[in-house]
Amino acid sequence: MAKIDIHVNILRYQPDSDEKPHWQEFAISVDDDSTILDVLNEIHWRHDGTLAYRRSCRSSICGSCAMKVNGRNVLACETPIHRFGRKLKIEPLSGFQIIKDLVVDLDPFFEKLRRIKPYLIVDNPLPDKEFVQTPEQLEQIGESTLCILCAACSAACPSSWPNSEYLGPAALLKAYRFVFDSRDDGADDRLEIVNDKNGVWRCHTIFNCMEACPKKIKITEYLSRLKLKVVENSL
Amino acid sequence: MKIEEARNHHQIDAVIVGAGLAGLRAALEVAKSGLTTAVITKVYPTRSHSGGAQGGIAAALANVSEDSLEAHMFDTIKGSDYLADQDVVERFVNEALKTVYEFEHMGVPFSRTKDGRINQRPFGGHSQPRACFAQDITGHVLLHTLYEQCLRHNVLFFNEFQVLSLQLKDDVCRGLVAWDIRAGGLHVFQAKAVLLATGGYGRAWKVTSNAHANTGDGVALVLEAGLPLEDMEFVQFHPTGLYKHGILLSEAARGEGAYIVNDAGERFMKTYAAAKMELAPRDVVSRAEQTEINEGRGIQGQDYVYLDLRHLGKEKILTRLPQIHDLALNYLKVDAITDPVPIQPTAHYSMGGIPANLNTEVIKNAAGQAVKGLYTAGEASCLSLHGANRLGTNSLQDAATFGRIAGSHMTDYCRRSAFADLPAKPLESAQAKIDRLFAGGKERHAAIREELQVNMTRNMGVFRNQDDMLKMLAVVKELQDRYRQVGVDDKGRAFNLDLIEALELENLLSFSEVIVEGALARKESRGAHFRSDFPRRDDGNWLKHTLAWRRDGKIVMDYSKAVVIYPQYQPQERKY
Amino acid sequence: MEKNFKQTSRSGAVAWLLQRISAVILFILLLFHFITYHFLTRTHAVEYRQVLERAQSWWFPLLQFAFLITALYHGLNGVWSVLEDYISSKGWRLAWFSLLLTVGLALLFVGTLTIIKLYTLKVA
Repeated sequence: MAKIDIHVNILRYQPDSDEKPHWQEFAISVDDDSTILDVLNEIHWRHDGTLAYRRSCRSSICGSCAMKVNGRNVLACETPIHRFGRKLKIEPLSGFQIIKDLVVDLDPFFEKLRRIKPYLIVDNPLPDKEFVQTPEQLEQIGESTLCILCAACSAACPSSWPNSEYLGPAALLKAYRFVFDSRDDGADDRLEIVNDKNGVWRCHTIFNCMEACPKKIKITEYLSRLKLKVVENSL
Repeated sequence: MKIEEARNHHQIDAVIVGAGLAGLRAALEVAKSGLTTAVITKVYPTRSHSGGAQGGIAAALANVSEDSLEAHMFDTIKGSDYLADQDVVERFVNEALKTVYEFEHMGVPFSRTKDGRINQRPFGGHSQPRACFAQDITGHVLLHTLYEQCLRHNVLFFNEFQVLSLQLKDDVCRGLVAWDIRAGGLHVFQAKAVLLATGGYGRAWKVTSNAHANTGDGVALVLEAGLPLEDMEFVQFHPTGLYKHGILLSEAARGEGAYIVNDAGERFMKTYAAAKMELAPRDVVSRAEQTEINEGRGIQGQDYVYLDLRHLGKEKILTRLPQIHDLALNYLKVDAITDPVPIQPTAHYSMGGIPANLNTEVIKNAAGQAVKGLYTAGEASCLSLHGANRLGTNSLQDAATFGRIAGSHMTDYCRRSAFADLPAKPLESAQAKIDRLFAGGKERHAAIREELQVNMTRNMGVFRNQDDMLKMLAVVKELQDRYRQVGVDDKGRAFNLDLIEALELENLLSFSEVIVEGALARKESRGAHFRSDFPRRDDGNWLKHTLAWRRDGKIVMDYSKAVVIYPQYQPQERKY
Repeated sequence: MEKNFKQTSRSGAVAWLLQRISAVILFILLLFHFITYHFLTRTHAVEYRQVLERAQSWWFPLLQFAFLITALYHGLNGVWSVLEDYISSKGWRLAWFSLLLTVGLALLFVGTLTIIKLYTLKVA
């Protein structure tokens, strides 16, 4: 472990004083095995206390610290700086309103999640013990339950940028997760909801979401399966 | 800044602070009854640190082995080094199965046996494979599932709010005051019942598995309100923290068969716990690890040992432990399939916390008298289920089960009570905290926090002794003094991270003093509290819980006897 | 708002499905096109007589018409789905839709005319 000097450009926006976002450069010295989050902490704790960003778990499971680094959506906590060299360009996720610096307004993101009825719907009486679900049935949804709702996918989606009404990959993935759950009886309802110009049909299979996903979930593939299911169900 | 009248004044039946497993489970229970229910959380609910739990949730389902409630109860009591209250443990194991089946019915994607039932894996200190799991993301899926259920039942969420004071008068809780992190500004919440489910206090240490958010805010609020804290000296160090980062590598790795080895490549647990080896309880394994390191048998003499997964094979690692594989790869550039992973003990779980009775009501003295309308559950609470040391996978079960129990008691309480009047000037103390930080002195919170954490790791770790702890006490007091001069750089209202961190630091400093005082007073070694100068457990004098208050700037203590009710669970020597 | 989107919701599924079906048809037609134009020519040099002969066989106008319809639908539907991403005002959407429809109909007319003309042309 050694110290290295790096240049960090951060897109700053202080709502009390700034008209619009602007770049600010910090020249700092950090351990060479630092993560992006370590760099932000270093700046915030020792150089400029006014810097605002979200973070919590440090172990890529809470989804707080999704942001754009050198043009890529990443989780700051799990991303080592050596992936980018000595010049860093850090900005908030695209497609969301900036509240302050790297903090964006995620309320619309969570509101969309709510719209697809993101919970198991069971019509029949519950069993005494667990539902029987085979490993193969679980396999259908296993990977999709990894989603940490960090919003990196929706922020990377060109279909989402011009259209704030589009449900976006995260909410649609959640729809997939329930529609394909062998225990769920709410598929008809949910398929009706995503069968919408602003639902699954605004996905043009661009694959950006998949590339941005820090959990490497094959989102585009699952959305395609969801589309087929909608077609099966509605024709 | 004055309260902006009606907009910032809320009247809600049940207000729950914290959106982890305990908070959300309680919220769901209250909301189902039709009462208005709000969750106040400083991060978005799915960001809560319950999501960081990896290995599983304990319940004696007996899906893959013969298991029984009695066995679960015995393991928990023995794991606690006999300090756990046995009436609490009994309630816990009796409700555990229901909790897991409920979760499954809510849609939790548990890993399955071939015949489609919930799969279970072995875990440290449990005599049977009892951990129901979803790969190694169990906490994550439980948390998300509960959040989804709360959305379904229209729980109100106040996301990114920091609670600054409890509104307590005449032993009745009337609500609380919170700072709206996003927009800035104080809000008053008047409530019939308040639940503190604010999680643990592991952020007081430098090397910790805890999230940035785990600053023990609820614990500090209770202390500030003149109520006691219980057993704060008991903090669990997890044996498999990722070297230098302290990030958790789940015990599930050992549950699946991973080894811990020293520099000589020895599975050194054979000298410390020959029967259970790596699956001894965490306090035992952490002490073994620290002993190896202290005696120069760390890897290349350094302060870490290896977690070795290689013999498990690629497929098992990638299907059962994918997160562990990713973490080691991302943070240390170590591929667990081909190389051993450097690990060290990391501050992990707070056994101590806010004292409460079996109904989760917060109590105000050793006699067990309850404060009306104030509840606590999860890691913030101390019932005491885990005694001096918690078993892995009992925490998710604790949070969910006692979250539900809290919810049902809160529902009853709300139904039979009216809103109590708020004390005069409810905003005063919260406003004073904010004003002082904005007015500002020259001290910076980051420097003080760093000093606290480094010293806590150095002096209040796996092994403790009087000299170190006295040093620590002096450090805490000095830092508390310096804190009075702290000012923030950021004077803005919106998303003022600087302000929040400074407020959190006040909490860290406040309860850290209680940890040190409690540990100094407890002249024995029990569970996670190990004193080199008093290396034996002393049931004659210390089979009791610490209760600590802050009175006139000093920590004062009282004790309550541990509840030992069953002849078959009498304290005995603890060997694994 | 919500309701308006609901009304068009079915066409979302239909449009998506038809876009995929038309893509497959286009692919098959293209194969036919390449085979008939480039591999079934008997001589090395392309002769007017030969071309006209082919153009006046019974299958040729059917193939060309199928091509015309599918290509127009696929292309215009594609453009429309892009426009829908970027245009949210109802008025502008209507305007663009009308324009695309007009262009489509015009091209259909011109294309059909060409096919008929080729079919009915007298060999000199």
